[in-house]
Amino acid sequence: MNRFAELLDRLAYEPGRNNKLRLITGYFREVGDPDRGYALAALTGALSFKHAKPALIRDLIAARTDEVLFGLSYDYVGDLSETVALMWPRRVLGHDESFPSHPSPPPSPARGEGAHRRRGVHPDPSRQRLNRAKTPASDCSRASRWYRRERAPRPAPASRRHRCRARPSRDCLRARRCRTRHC
Amino acid sequence: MTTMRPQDILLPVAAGLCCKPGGFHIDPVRPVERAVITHGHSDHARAGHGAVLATQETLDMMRLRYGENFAGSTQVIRYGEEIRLGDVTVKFHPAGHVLGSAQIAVTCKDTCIVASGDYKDAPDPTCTPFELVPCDVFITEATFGLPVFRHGDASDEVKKLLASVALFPERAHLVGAYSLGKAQRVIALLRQAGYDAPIYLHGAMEAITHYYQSRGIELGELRPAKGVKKAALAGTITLAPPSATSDLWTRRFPDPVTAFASGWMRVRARARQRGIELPLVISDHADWDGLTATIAATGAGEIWVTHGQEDALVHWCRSKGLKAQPLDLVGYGDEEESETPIQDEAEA
Repeated sequence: MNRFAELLDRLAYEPGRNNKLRLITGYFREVGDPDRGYALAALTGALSFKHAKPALIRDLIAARTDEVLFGLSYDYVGDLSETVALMWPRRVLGHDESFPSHPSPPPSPARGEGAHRRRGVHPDPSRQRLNRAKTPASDCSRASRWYRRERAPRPAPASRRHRCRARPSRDCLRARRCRTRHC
Repeated sequence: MTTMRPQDILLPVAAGLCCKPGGFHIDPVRPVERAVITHGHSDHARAGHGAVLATQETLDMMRLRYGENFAGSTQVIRYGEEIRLGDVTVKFHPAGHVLGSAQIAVTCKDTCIVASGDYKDAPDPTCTPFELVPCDVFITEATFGLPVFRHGDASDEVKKLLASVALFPERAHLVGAYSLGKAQRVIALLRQAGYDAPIYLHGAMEAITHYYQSRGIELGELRPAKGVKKAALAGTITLAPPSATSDLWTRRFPDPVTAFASGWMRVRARARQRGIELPLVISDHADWDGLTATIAATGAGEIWVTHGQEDALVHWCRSKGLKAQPLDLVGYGDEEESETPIQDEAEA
């Protein structure tokens, strides 16, 4: 599972599509069954975790860490699941299996997002485009959204911004010499 | 005479941590008459002091960075050596942070205060390992003073870098790393992992890296990245200061993979802010577990916290029954007032 986590990390940071594909193929080549099967299911949205919801995660971490320290950490990191993952007390045992003495419950393909897609599969195999592996609203798409947002034009600093007569409610993104039509 | 309070020995003032009975400052941020310096990072070691007491390596690094006349006079002190200054004795102990870094133990009568500067308890092939110094008051940094900062094994991070080089042999790998300490540690870790190809260097880190080599630290074959053809840099690893990895300078590399070796890389948002593709959690500072374990092991009853996330560490200390406060509040409410707190940019 650690190798899969590594893959997700790399995918989240990698902006290029071809490089993402390289990372995914590299992973499937390297890792054997059944791990890569689970990975495929996770990537295609066929896995669902019925009980792992934010409230439960909050309760679990509250039972394991100091409330003030968790508050300060959450405030710094800004993401609940990331904060919890980083703060989670270390285990002393080996780290190959998911939980010591608790084998992972079999993932259920009947509940996940992929299952809904499967119901929508077109009878004509040539048009079964829905079967394509697509990452759900996961880190990959979040990373690409972030990437686009980072490259969007930024508003000029307030001191250099001018009053736009046509659209007084909005701040014009350009600096003083604005040549857009609405000015 | 009444017993001496710790704040009568060391007190934060505008110029830095001042030792009145000894007549010196530790890591002063403004020019002072006598400075005692923990290590060569620019937020601790500054030019323009009258007299400087530090380890040989720290003095050499200051000379490299600021030129021959960086101080009026200098005095070398070795690890384990004790020197009397005014009414106090000063002893240097290895801090494990970078080459030549030291913790400074200041003893006056029977009170011992250890100013640890920056430190780490993790193994580092490029410097003397951290030494635990029992004391009454321990001044600790808190750069990574939140329980989310747990660094893990640096050699695993280097394996991640090597796996990426193997997966993308046609791309160049650019590793952002601070030029004093971090860069040399990454190179040494790469060599330990069996990587023996030449490693390329940004011009800004050549001098300090060659200084490390001159002190007997094996770093293998190093080449300047300047003047190398773009195609020849495919599949290579280049180390550069963090600012250079998002610079026009990177255009000389074929489709570079941007990595950054820093403890901040533990948090995703920090890596994304910088547009890093391959974050490597390698730090020259102790992580949360290192800080708390060290504090407990010193046996100090009072902890002064500085340099970073003071709140969380102060809270932890108090929850363990230790007296703790942020360093910039030490001495507040006394008859001796201190001015503005010291705020330093920590090299992480």
